[in-house]
Amino acid sequence: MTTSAVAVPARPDQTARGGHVLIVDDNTMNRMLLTRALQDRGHRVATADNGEEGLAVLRGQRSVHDVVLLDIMMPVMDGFEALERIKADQALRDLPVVMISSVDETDAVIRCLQMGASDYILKPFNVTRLHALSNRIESLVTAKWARRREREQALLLEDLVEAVSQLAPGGPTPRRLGDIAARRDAPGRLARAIERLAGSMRAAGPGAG
Amino acid sequence: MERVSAASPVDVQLLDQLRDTVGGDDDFLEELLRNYLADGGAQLATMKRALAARDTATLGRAAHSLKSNSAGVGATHLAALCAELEAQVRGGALDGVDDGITRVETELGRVTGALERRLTSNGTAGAGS
Repeated sequence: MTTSAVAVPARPDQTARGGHVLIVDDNTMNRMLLTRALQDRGHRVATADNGEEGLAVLRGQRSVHDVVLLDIMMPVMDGFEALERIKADQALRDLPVVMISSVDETDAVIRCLQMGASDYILKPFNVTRLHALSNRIESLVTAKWARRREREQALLLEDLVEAVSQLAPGGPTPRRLGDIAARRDAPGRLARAIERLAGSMRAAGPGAG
Repeated sequence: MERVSAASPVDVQLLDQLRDTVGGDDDFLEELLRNYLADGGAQLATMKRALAARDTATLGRAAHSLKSNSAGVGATHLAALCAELEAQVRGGALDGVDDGITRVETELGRVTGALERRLTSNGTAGAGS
């Protein structure tokens, strides 16, 4: 089993465990408590007052959020509609959403989970619930980066296959093959091995093999 | 009929739990409680406006929000009154809602008094009744 830990550089500002969390809640106390608790546990936090504002933040050019905490009952745009729009948006649908819910909103939570929410946290918040939330966010962030890495590796592999198919006896090395060979990860090693093989075939002359 | 809880409007144990939740930071707890009281007043005003406009959605949201916050600071009776109001409004009936809002206002007054006493006594630690 090879490791691809260096395959995709982490974002420069990505902490080891914490993530960028967007809290969408119209309730000041909830935002204050969640912000404080998550910052204390190493997460970076931004807030929005309702679903519409939250969506605008997520769709902003500088959005770097890993996880969204979404209240269900809010003015302007409630959690259901915001969740529906996130999951319908190609660019946002993989973003994990954790619903903020009261104990009496069980049916609403089930509906949100069916709509694609990843999890929920119950109000009122306490130490245990906030600790569990922080852990859950960490695992969602880890899973998100693992998925991104997998996608990048799959794309690299496709590029590599394409580059190899362009190799011609005596011809130049395809540029993309050289690009991939400059990487330190498994696709990079594979590309370098192919380059060496192609080089030795060229050295052996057109009649070789 | 006016129902008044004879018990303390704020459950000290639950309030202490909130203090634990913020890591015993009394300054932050005070900030939270002041926000709660300010928001509570605003939510009550929203309920009254919404009732006058027969806007059940806004009224329900305000009751829901005050219920949630009140449960968080240990104002359990106020939370229960807000829950009743929310359920009534969600059912679409506005008859008697003005009485419900009056009960919420009275209880919010008691909660405010208890929390203000706690805030002005020894910081936020250990008071509340």
